[in-house]
Amino acid sequence: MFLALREIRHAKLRFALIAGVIVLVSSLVFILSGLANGLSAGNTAAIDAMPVDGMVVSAGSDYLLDRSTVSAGVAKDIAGIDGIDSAEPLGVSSANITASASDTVIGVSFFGIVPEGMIQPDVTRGEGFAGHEGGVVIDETLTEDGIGLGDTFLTEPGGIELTVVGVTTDRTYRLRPSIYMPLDLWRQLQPVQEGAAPDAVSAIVVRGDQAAIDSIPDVAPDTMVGSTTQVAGHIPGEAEQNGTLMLIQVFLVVIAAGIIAAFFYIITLQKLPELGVMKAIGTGTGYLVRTLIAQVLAIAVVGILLGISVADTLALVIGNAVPYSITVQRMALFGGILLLVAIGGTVLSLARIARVDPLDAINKAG
Amino acid sequence: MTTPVLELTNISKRFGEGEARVDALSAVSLRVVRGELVALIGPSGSGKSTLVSIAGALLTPSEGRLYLNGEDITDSPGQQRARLRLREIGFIFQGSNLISYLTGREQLLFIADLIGLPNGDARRQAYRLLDELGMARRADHYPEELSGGERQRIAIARALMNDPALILADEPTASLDSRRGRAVVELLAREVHERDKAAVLVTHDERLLDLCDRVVHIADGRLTGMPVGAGSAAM
Ligand SMILES: Nc1ncnc2c1ncn2[C@@H]1O[C@H](COP(=O)(O)OP(=O)(O)OP(=O)(O)O)[C@@H](O)[C@H]1O
Ligand SMILES: [Mg+2]
Repeated sequence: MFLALREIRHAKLRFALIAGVIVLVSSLVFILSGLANGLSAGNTAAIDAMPVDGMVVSAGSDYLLDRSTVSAGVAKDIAGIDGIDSAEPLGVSSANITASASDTVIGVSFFGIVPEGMIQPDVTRGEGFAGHEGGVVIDETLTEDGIGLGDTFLTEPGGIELTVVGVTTDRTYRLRPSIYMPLDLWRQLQPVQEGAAPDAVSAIVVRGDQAAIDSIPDVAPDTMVGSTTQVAGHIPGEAEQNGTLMLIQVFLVVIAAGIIAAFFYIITLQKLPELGVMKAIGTGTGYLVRTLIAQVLAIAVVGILLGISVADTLALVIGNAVPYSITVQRMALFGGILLLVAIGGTVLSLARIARVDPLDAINKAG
Repeated sequence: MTTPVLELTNISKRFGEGEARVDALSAVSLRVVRGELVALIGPSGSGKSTLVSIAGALLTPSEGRLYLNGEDITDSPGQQRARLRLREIGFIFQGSNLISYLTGREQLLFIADLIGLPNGDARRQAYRLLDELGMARRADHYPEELSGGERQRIAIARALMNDPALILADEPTASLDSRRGRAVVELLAREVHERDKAAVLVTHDERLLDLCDRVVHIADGRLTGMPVGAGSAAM
């Protein structure tokens, strides 16, 4: 590519400016992608992490665990269905806790689970709550609020003092840290509700084959089943939030395409007399097309790589103040999209280059 | 009798239709042989650029045949014409001739890249040409840093870089004062004779004619004055 880099070298400022714009746009895309990912994980991680095939909730609950009540006894009926391997009750509720040491009040989610059951989380520090009266396992993010292994806190509702015996990771729900406890303890903490069944829980989690899972409502009246993905998607605000952030990202990608298209088109228009001379002396259109694509690739790759490092640096600076998480795959995906869009943005310029008449070198000279 | 490098037989070129029809060239015949610098002179609008465009495979004639090195290329498709221009023809245009972001040396190396000349050969040849045209010391300057005369000397070097059979120059001295213009044409004439090229030089300036081997007058799209081919030592 004889011409591509020489032209960039000669017009450094111009090309640096367009690369700068690509850096800004792409870093914004990466930041938003990380933010969307982080927010979504904060909302749904505890649900996503459950290794179950289906969740049974009450019929009118719209898959909102907080609104769903199912009788725990139903779990036995469900477990009896052919093709269902196991079924366990699960309690989920929002609550506040007050750290005994500092009096700070923190919003959390309580998960009441069957001890040693399917959704017992792996602890990264400490141990499981089995054998610890009043012991619970907390999500890692709670330690950032000053509650760690061995600390105690008071529940609201319930007013019971509990002790942290284990810490697990990536178990947030509705942007709050989760606290795992035995189902019996969870039930003690629930406010007494008029008319509610004494063994009411939020859902029954099941493992088994899909056909059997789909037939559960026949056995357990007033219930419906969904996958963990379905339940996660129905968390209030989750779909809207993902949609909004995705829309912004799509707009940014379109803007990037527009900027690149305009920039290279204007540069091409400025070069028309020169392009005429080049064609007159025998330069093929293919050569000129390759030159332009090489330039776009060079500028876009540099811009996107710098954009990634800007996004990463920013994420480091912001730290844990906002949920931010991005995987290499997502970066590669968005980087690839931006690159394709950049090349797509040159279509106008390429069409113009193809139309340049070598005769212009003589007729429009001077 | 040697085959002429360039031969036009009965070339006519019409632009437009009906009322707007312009007969830019009418039954023009011209032969140019190796080592011959032919001056083409005539008033504005007489068809000089049209003739050079047809000779340079940039424009197809309405009638007549065009031969390059004895081969009929009148009906060659676009891609083959581009190839011919790249391999067999050296162009020198009036202005905006050089590529703004390449230094003098790179203008020549660009041609080498297009024809796929090995790097070492390309550098040696570029240096030799620039040296011959007195541009070796200014070779690493961009066009904007060169005078008009220097630019045209680079353009001559570029036109010779592909070692063409034919050189076509359309008013290369138009933007120069007469002294510098004459110097440029002197260099062009020297290269044509030393390297045994065939060349056509379009000019307005009668004072340059003594540097050429033959003068062809054109008026209203017809060649006048000297008969075709006369005065050429090689014929
Ligand atoms: N593309 C075109 N369409 C229509 N008419 C044209 C076209 N190109 C040239 N002509 C006409 O053909 C005639 C010859 O033009 P040409 O450019 O060959 O003249 P010229 O001798 O080079 O003039 P000058 O000395 O001004 O450069 C002119 O009347 C011109 O208007
Ligand atoms: Mg002209």
